[in-house]
Parts: sequence; structure tokens; C-alpha cells
Amino acid sequence: MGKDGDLTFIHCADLHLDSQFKGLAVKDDHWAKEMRESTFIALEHMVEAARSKKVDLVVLAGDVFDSDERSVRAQFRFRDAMSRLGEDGIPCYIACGNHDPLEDWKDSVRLPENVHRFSAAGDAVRFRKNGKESAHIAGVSYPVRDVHEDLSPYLSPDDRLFSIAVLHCNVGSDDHAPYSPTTKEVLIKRGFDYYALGHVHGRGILNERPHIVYPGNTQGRHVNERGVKGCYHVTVRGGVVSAMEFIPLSPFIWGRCEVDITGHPSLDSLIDSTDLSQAGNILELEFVGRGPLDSELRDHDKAEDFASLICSRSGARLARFRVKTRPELDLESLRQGKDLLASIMRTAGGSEVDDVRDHLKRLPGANRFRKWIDAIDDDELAEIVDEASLLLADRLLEDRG
Amino acid sequence: MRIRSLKVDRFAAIDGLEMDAPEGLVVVSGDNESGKSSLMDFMRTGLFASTSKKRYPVPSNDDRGHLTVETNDGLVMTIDRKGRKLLNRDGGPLPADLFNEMQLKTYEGIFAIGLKDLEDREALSTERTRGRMGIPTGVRNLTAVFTELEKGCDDIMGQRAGSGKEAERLLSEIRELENQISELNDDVSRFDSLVREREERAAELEDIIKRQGGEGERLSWLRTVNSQRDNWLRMMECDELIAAKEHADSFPPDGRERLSAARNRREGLVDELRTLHQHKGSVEMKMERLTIDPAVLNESEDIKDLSAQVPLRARTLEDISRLQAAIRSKEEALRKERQRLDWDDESIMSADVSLSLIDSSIRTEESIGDLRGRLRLAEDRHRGLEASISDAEDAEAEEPVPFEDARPSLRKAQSLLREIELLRNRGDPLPFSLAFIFIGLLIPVSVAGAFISGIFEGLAIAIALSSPSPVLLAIGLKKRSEEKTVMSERLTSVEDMETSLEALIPSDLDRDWNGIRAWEDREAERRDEMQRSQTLERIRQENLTRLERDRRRLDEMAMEIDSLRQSLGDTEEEWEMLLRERGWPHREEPELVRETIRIVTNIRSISGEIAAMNDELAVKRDSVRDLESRMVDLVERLGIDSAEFNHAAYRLDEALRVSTDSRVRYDGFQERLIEMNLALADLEDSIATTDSDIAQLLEPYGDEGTFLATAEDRHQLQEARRERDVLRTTLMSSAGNPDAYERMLNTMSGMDRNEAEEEISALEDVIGHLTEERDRIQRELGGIDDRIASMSTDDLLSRKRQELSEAEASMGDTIRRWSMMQTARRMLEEATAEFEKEKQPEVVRRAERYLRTMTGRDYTLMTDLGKGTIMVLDKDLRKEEDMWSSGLGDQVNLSLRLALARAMGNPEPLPIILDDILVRFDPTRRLGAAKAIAEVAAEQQVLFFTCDPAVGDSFRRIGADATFLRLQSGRLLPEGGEEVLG
Repeated sequence: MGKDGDLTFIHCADLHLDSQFKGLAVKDDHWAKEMRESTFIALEHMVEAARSKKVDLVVLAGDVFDSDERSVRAQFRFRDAMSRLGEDGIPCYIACGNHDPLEDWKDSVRLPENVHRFSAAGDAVRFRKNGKESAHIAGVSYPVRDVHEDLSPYLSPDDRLFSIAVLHCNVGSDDHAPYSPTTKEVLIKRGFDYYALGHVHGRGILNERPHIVYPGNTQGRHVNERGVKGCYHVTVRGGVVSAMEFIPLSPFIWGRCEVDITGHPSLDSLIDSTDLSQAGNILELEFVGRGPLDSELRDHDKAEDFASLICSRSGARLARFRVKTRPELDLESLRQGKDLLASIMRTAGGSEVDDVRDHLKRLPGANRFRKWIDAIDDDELAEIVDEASLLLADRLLEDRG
Repeated sequence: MRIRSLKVDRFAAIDGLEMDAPEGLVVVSGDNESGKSSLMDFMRTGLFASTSKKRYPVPSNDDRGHLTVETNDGLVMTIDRKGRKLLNRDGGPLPADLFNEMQLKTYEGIFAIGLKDLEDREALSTERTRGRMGIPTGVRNLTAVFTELEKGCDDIMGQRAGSGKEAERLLSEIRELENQISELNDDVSRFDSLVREREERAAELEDIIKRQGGEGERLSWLRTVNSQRDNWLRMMECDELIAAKEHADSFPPDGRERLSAARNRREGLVDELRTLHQHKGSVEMKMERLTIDPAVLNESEDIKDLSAQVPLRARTLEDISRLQAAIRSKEEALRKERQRLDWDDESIMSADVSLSLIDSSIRTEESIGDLRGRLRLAEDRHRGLEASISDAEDAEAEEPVPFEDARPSLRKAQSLLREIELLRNRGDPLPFSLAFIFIGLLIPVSVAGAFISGIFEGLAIAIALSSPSPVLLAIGLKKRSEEKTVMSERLTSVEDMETSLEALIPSDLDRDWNGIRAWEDREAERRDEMQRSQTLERIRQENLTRLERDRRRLDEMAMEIDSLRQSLGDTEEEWEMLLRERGWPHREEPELVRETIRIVTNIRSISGEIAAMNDELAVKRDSVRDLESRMVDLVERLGIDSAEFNHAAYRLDEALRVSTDSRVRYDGFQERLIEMNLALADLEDSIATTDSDIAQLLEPYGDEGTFLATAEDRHQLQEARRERDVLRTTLMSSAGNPDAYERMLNTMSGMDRNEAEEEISALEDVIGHLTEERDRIQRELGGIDDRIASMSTDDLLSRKRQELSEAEASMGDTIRRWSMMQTARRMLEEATAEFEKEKQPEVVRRAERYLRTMTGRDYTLMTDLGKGTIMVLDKDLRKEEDMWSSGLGDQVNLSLRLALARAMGNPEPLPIILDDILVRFDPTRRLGAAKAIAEVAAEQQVLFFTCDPAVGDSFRRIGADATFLRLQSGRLLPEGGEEVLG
């Protein structure tokens, strides 16, 4: 006999309310306020979507807040949002994650009656629709930040009802911290119909029937969280997931774009032919290619002005930029020469990043910057060495035309 | 490569100098203007294949001289000099082609140098030489790049506030931000304490409210008691009244109303009775006014029937008019159809017009038509054939013109004419015979003349000389005879040919080419005529054949016409018979048969329709007449005076309507009178019953006054009871429950109004105090709530964090740029240092060795990469170029040149030619220089020219393995001895 249950719900995770945007190396006050509001706007969008679609319930799979940055403002805004769901009779089920473990939730801001927060031992509720039991919702919260055990065994499905497991965990991703690590196979064996997961910020449906779903976070906060972010609107008919609709929530969309200087004799020409309007509204630019503009872009201030102009023409904000262009010179033949330049180029090729780092640290006054020098990873340091050799080539050959 | 030998002719001051040059060092000494420099120039000109107008006069083309060189591989090249040109005698390459694309300037500055060349640094500044010396080529001054990088690093760190300040500012700002973050994070804790405080305040408030509630309850009780005291007193009055009026309790509750109602009812009934009597009188009057004609009512069925038929009559009359018009129309149509058909009436009605006739008639008529057509065609063709045959027979048979082909005669005539002309044009044969005869005669005459003149002696000689004369004469005469025969034969031939020609050419034509051409034209015309005649003959023959055929066909056609006429007659007869059988008065054309049938059918149909319409017309006229006669009877019976049918009908109808209507109303009035009589009787009964009811009501009380007093008592009793119940309910409601009600009654009875008022006043004071306290706490709570709300909307923390994040990102970026600049600077330093200290090129190291040999000092020669120059390190003292003495400059420059000459002579070491370059060297350094040069000469040929014997001695003093030569008067002599060569 098949399971019962017709319902619709929103599966959302990783709101990270009031957390900050990282990697904005270029100052731009114009956008500041909107950006501070962005995680809240995403939350508002989620609430509006739940209300307009008249969903039966909402599940939040952890990291509503950032534990380091939990502000009173964020808690109040969250409480208000939950209250608005409550006005429409929409319950919300929350499993806490590593960024908002139970120990960090303050009782001072009381959540409304329609919010159920799962315990650290795991618990379950039966959702009733029109007086009839329609779903079994089980979840477990992180008691503390560091939970490295698989929490899924804490949860049990109800064979009669459509069963949802709300978990903040890492299913086989190497890119995210291994909190509550588990595997797809383990989850499938648990017997739930829908695993509403959080923690991984990229969205993905890892499996169907049973559905194992990461909706991703609701607002990208740095360039590695690119693209549109949001939540899933799930429709269940006769105890089976019949539709999954992704609802975009994020007001800001991060993008990384390459701007190729090849074939452009002037900055005007490059600007005219560059359209980044589809790339997002916070952009990290990478100037690439080979051409006469390489020399101009080696001037940092000029490159920054130029990058900002390109972004503003596309209605976007510049986060940062990198100049990875090459001069028109034949670097290989320069390297093969016998003169000083060749020696420099060869030195660049043979530079050990650790040596470079040590040298930088030993420089007079560098002690103050030790933290940032250490923050430069080896790949980036290699890029820096490469850029330095290009800068030297550019400067040494300036008169050669 | 080395120079093996040379020969110089007319080059500058040298003429006819020859030299065999040995390997190694060759020192050539000579006085000023002895030709040393010219010899050197000759050598380098020969080697580099170049001359300079400025320095050397342009040699004439026949200038000679040569230079023989030998490469390391043993290849010997002899370079001939002719004017400006240099040619490899064997056609191979010139030496300069082996110099690895070296420029003239470099060659002259390195390999063939004089004192002036030594001072010239230009040759050491080419990209090639600088490269060999490790001096960066094609790049900017490194010092400028260093300065730029340093400035870049400083700029990065001090973009806004000077060197390094920005980083410090950022750091301090970041620290400040971090403090703020820490503080703001404490806000969460502060918030918790605020909430705790709020809860304490709220508890306090609750306590006050509770206390306030207790006092308030008592106050409220007392106020209630006092407010209800009047109600309680009134309730007791009600109880007393109830006890006094209880006797009226048995009085019927509606007694007074019932009496009143009975009396009212009776009055109403009496009024109704009076009204009814008035109505009855009125009806009776109306009945009297009604008029009814019984005769009309008796005839009512007939009148109704007649009235119903009035519109029918009108329609029938219209139908009659329409029918009449239709009949007229049909009759017109019939007349037109009859006009189209000339059949008699009998035929029209009786002839067979079935459709089957159409097919047979069409078929037969078509057959007849076909037969007639074929007959007509056959007759036409018969007539045509007859005409054709007649024409053909009339045509005259023209015989073809006989014709003889004259072309062979014409060709023969042309040939004869051509031959005649040839013979005539040939001319007379040359008269050789006359020459023989003339000479035969001339010889004896001449001999005789000479003999006579005594030219020769002896007759025998004369005879001998005259002996050929008879032979010549004989030959001349014979030839003359032959010539005449030929001429005669030719004449005969021409005459014969002219005769033949005459016979050939028609007589009316000339016997020349004009005649021939006229003959040709005539023949062409004749040929055309002949071809026409032949064509006509062919046509005639064809006509005859066709005539025969036509005659045969004419006979066939006549038979066919007879046959067709027979068939036509039969068919027509057959058809006529068929028509007669079918009653058709005469035959119609096939296309008219269908139309005739249609017309006949139409006529028959129209006739039928007219007959039917006439029948219908008669019927309708009968019905109208019948109706009108009925009307006349009815009108007469009812005495209505009206002659016109419709008017009479209207009058009848009106009379019937009035009578019928009056009758209906009369019947109605009758019924109402009956009903009224019944109602009057009922009313009278009701009045009697009501009177009885009233009497019955009053009976227990004697009279109506007592009855009404008792009724009033009962009313008061009821009112008192109701009021008492209301008061009780109010008191109960104020008290809240039965127990409290009882308690209230007790309180009221146990405490008077004043006592209660006093207690109320005391309680009000207590409560006022508590209220103030409560308000204070509530204000405090409001403050706390405001602070909480303020914290909940304040985004300072968020803003600061974002600023921090951006500052960190910006800082990271800045550090990254700084790191890049520093790395660039370090790379440049390292590469430069390596170049300066470890990777000095071979050239500089070798030059340093030569310099040390020359100077006898421990100089170090280095490339200053920063400035792109060469410098001398004297122990720790850096001596840059402007610090060198002229002598040291010469020595450095010579060292570098010798080293470069060694390095650049690859793959072919070139001979080095030096012209008095040691004159500014002191004796010691001259010896050193000689050593260095001798060291070089061990590896490649060096030709050293000097005017100073001391210089030559220097080489001797160091024991150099050298060949010493002296240039004197354009000759090379071994030093101190005889001429070595040339």
C-alpha cells in the first residue's frame, strides 16, 4: 500500500543572516547598504514565496545565522519573518547547523509558535493537513559547532507517511568542512522520502526517489559562491515528489568574468566590445589575453578605474580584479636569450614560492603584514612571481616600443 | 683565417709590394708615411670587401693587386682587386661572407684598429658587442627601473598617506573595527541582560497588578453594594405591594382585554351591518339600470358565427381578386406560348410529347443531318475533283528544253588560249649563232690587221692564231639553221591552236579571254534555264499521276453520293412516318423538338391551372354569396337597419356584446345580493353572541365598575412582581453569583451607605498609589523594550563588519601588489648581482686577464649592469669610465677589443691588424701589452704596424715568437736585413 500525503513545502538552507560579503577589494560605498541587507532580502523573498504559493510548511536545514556574526538585528528579523509565516498558518521546521548550533540560540528572542526547532537528540513531528496526517518530519540539530559524527542515524521515517529528514550535513563534498559527514548510500538506506539538506552552498539534487537535495545558500557572499541562489519549492502528490521548482532569492549575484584584451588596440575599443550584463551584479574581473593593452593594465590605478568602468557600464559592482594579460613580446624567445632580461625571466621560472614568501616576510616593515603575506596561497604567489617578471619585462623594454 | 700573401699595386702610396705573411705575430715597422697604414687598409679592404671613398681614392678599373687568405679549414682564397671590385679568383665566397654577418663598423673597430679607433667606444656599443660583454641590450637603464620599482613599492604602501602610513592606518582601523566587533558581539549578552531585567520588571508589575487587583476587588464590591442599595430598597417595596394585591391574582389575566375586545367587536359588527345594507341598496339600483335584448341573445350563436366569418369573407374576396389576376396572367402566358407554336389545339392536346421522342428525334435528325453533310461534302469534293481534272487536262504539256553540256569545250578553249599566249609570249630564241659567226669573222680580220701592223712576226703564227675561225663559223651557221626551225614550228603550232579555238568558241564571241568570260556567263544562264525546265517537267509528271488518281476517286465519289441520297431519303421517310404516328402535325428540327415538347407541356400545364383556378373561383364566390344571404336574413329578423354587409355585421356584433355583457353583470349582482343577505344574517347572529359574552364576563363581579377595579389591582400586582424580578436580576448580576448575592444582601443590611463610602475612599487611595507604581514600572519596561527594538534594527555591527571585510580584502590586494613589486625588485637585484659577480661573460673575463697582463695590476673588469657600462674594480675601488686615465682607457679598450676579437672570430678567427696603438703606453705597460698581444697571436694571426722601433723592441724583449719586417720605400724587408719578398 502506497504512502499518503499531498503537500507542498519550501526547502531552504544556509541563510547566514547578516553575514558579510568577502573579497570586495575595491571600495564602492554606493552599494554598501543594499549589500548589508541582501541576506535579509533573500529571507523576505523566501517568506513571500511561501505565502504566495500557499505552501503547507517550510523546512530550514541549518545555518540560519553565522555564529560569529549573530546580531540582534538578525535574530529579530528572523523572528519577524517567521511570524509572517505564522500569520498564514505556515509552520517552519529548523535543524540547526554548525554556524548556528543550539548553544548559540538565545532564548531572549523567542520564536513564534509556528516554529519548531529540532533537538540535538533528533525528534520528529507529524504534519496534519485538513485534519489528516500528511507528513512525517524528522530533524536533528547541532548541539555545538563541531559535530563530526553522522547525525542521520538519529532520525527514523514513518512508513505510512511521506517522511522528510532535515539535516545539516556533508554528503561527499570535499569542498566543504566535514561536518556530520555521511554518504548518499547511507541516506538512501535510512528510508526517508526527502532529505532536506543544508551545509553545501552549491545547490544540487543528489538523488531522486528518495530525493537528497541541497538547495544551496540563499545569497552568495563571495566570488566562489557565484550564480543565482535560492530555495526549492517541493510538491508532493500521493506520497511522491511530483515537482521541484527552484525559486531564486538572492538580490546579489556574484560572477567572475574574463576580459580578453587580445586584438584591442585601445581601452575604448575593449570597453565598447565588453558586455558583462548577464554575468551578475558583483563581478570579479580577470584581464587575460595578449596585446598592447597589457602595458597599460600594469598600472594598477588605471586598471582599477578601467575595471570599475566596465562593471558600472554593465550595471554591476566591481569586487576585485586580476591582470593576467601577456605582452605582445615573445616571452619564450626572451627567456632563451643570454642577456639580463632572459636571466630575469628564467629566475622567475625557477623561483620557489617559499623563498619568495620568506623574502617578503624578511623585508623591512613586513612584520606588520605577516598575516596577509601568509594568507597568500602558493598558487597566488606563483602568479605574483609571474606578474613580477612581466612587470620587469614591460618596464625594461619600455623604450623598445 | 690568416693572410698568407698579398700583392699591392697602386694602392695609395704603395705600388708593386708583395708579401708572404707567416702565421702568428707579424710586426711591421716603418717610418712615418712609409705606407704602413695604407698596407693595413689594403688588408682590411680585401678582407671586408669594402672601401671608403673618403679614405681612399677611387682606384681605376685596371688597378691590380690581390690578397691570398687561408681559412682554418685549409681553404685558400685569392681575392683579386680590380678597381673597387673584389673578386674571388676561384669564384668562391669573399672572406667577409664568412664573418658571420659582422658589420663593417664592428670589424673596423675590433679587428683592424688604429690609435683613433682605440679611443672610439662606438664599436663597443653595438648590441652585439654589448651582448657579449653582458651589458643588457635594448633595455632601459636598470637604475631607472630600480628607482621605479622602489617608488612603486612606496606608492603602494603610501597611496593615501605617504610611505607605509596607509598600511598602518589600515591596521589601526582594523584593530579598531575588531574592538568594535568584540563590543558589538557583547551586545548580544547585553541584550540578554536587558531581557532579564525586563522580565524582573514585568514580574514586579505583575505583583503590583495583583495587589491592585485585591484592593480593587474590595473597592469594586463596596461600590457595587452602594450602587445597588437603591435597587435593594425598591425590591423590598415591591414585595410589600405584591402581598397587598394578591387577592386579584385569580382575575383572568386578559379579563379587561377580553371585555374591551367584546365591546369593540360588537361595535364593529354593527358598523359592518350598516355598511352592508348600504351596499345592498346600491346593487339593487344598478340592477335596475341594466338593459338586455333577449332576441339578440337568442340569435347570439348565429351572430357569433357570422362575426367570425366576416374576416373570412374579406380574405375570400381577396382570394377571388388574386385568382382572377392569376387567371389573367396565365391566360397571357398561354397566349404567348401559343404564339410560339403553330400547332392546332387538337395537336397540342393529343400529340405525343413524351421525352422518348426527344432522343429518337435527335438521333434521327442527327442522322439525317449527318447524311446531308456527308452528301454535301461528297458533292463538293466531286465538283472539286471535276474542276481539278478539267484544269489538269487543260494544262499544256510543255516539253523540256534539250540541253548540251558545253563545259568541256569551254575548258578546252581556255587551255588553248592559255597555251597560245604562252607560245606568243615566249619570244624569239637568243641569236647565239650570230655571235659564233661574228667571232669567226673577227679573228682572221684582227690577225690580218696585226700581221700587217707588224705586231708579231711570222705568218705561221698568224695562221695558227686564225685556225679556230672556220670552226666557229661552222658552228654559228649550224646554230642559225636550228634557230629558224624552232621559230617556224612554233608559228605552225599557234596557227593550229587558233583554228581549234575558232571551232570551239561560238561564232558570235571573240576568240580572246573576253569571249571566254562571255561564253562562261552564257553557259551559266543556260544551266539555270535547264534546271528550271527540269523542275517543271517533274511537276508536270506529278500532276499527271494525281489526275489519274482524282479520276478514279471521282467515280468512287459519284457512287457514294448515290448511296447517301438513298439513305437520306429512307431516313426522312421513316421519320415522317414516325411523327405522323405520334400526332405531330409536322416535323421539327432536332434542336426545336425539345423546346416544342416544353412549350406543349407548358401550354397543357397552364390550361390545367386555369381550369383549376376557375373551379376554385366559383367555389369562393359561392361561399361569399351564401354568407351575405345569411346576413340579410339575420338583419331582417333583428330589425337592424343597415344595407352594407360590414356595417350590419358591426351592428350585430355590438348589440350582441351589450346584451351579453349586461346579462353577465346582472347575474353577478344577483349572486352578490344573495351573499349580502346571508352576511346580514350572520352579523346579526354575531352581535347577539357578543352581547352574551359580555354579560358572562361581568357576571362574577356584579357590575362593570368592580370588574375594572379588580383588573387594575391585578395589573399592579403583575408590575410589582416584574420589577422585583428585574431588581433581583440586577443585584444578582452585580454580585456575580448566588452566594455573592446573598453576601451582598447581608452586607447591605449590615452596613449603611456612609460606612461603605468611607471604606471606598480609603481603598481608592491605596489603589492610586499602586497605579502610580505600575505606571512607573511600565515606563521602565517601555524603555527596555525601546532599547531592545533599537538594537534589533541597528545595523552598525553589520556595517562595521562589512567595512572590515572590505578593508581586509583591500589590504590583501594591496599586500599582493606590494609583494609583486618587491618580488620584481628582488628578481632584478638577483639577476643583476648574478650577472655582475658570477656570470660575467667570457669576453669580460678574458679582457680582465689581458688588462692584468698589460697593467701588471690586480684590476677586475666588470660590467655595470645598472648603467650598462664597463667599470674597473681596483681592489674595492670602483673606477668608472670617467675616472680612467687616457692610458688606462687605452688599455681597457685594447683588452676588450682583443677579447672581443677572440670571441667574435667564431667560427673563423680573423686576423687582427693593429696600427701603432701602443704609443700612449708607458714602457712597462707597453711590455705588458706586447705580452697580451703575443698571447693573442698564439691563437690568431696578428699584424702589428709601428713607426716606433721601441715598440718593436718590446716584442723582442718579451721574447715573442714573431716575424719582424721593415717597410721601406714601398718594399718589405726583414728587420735589419735584405728584402724578404718582391
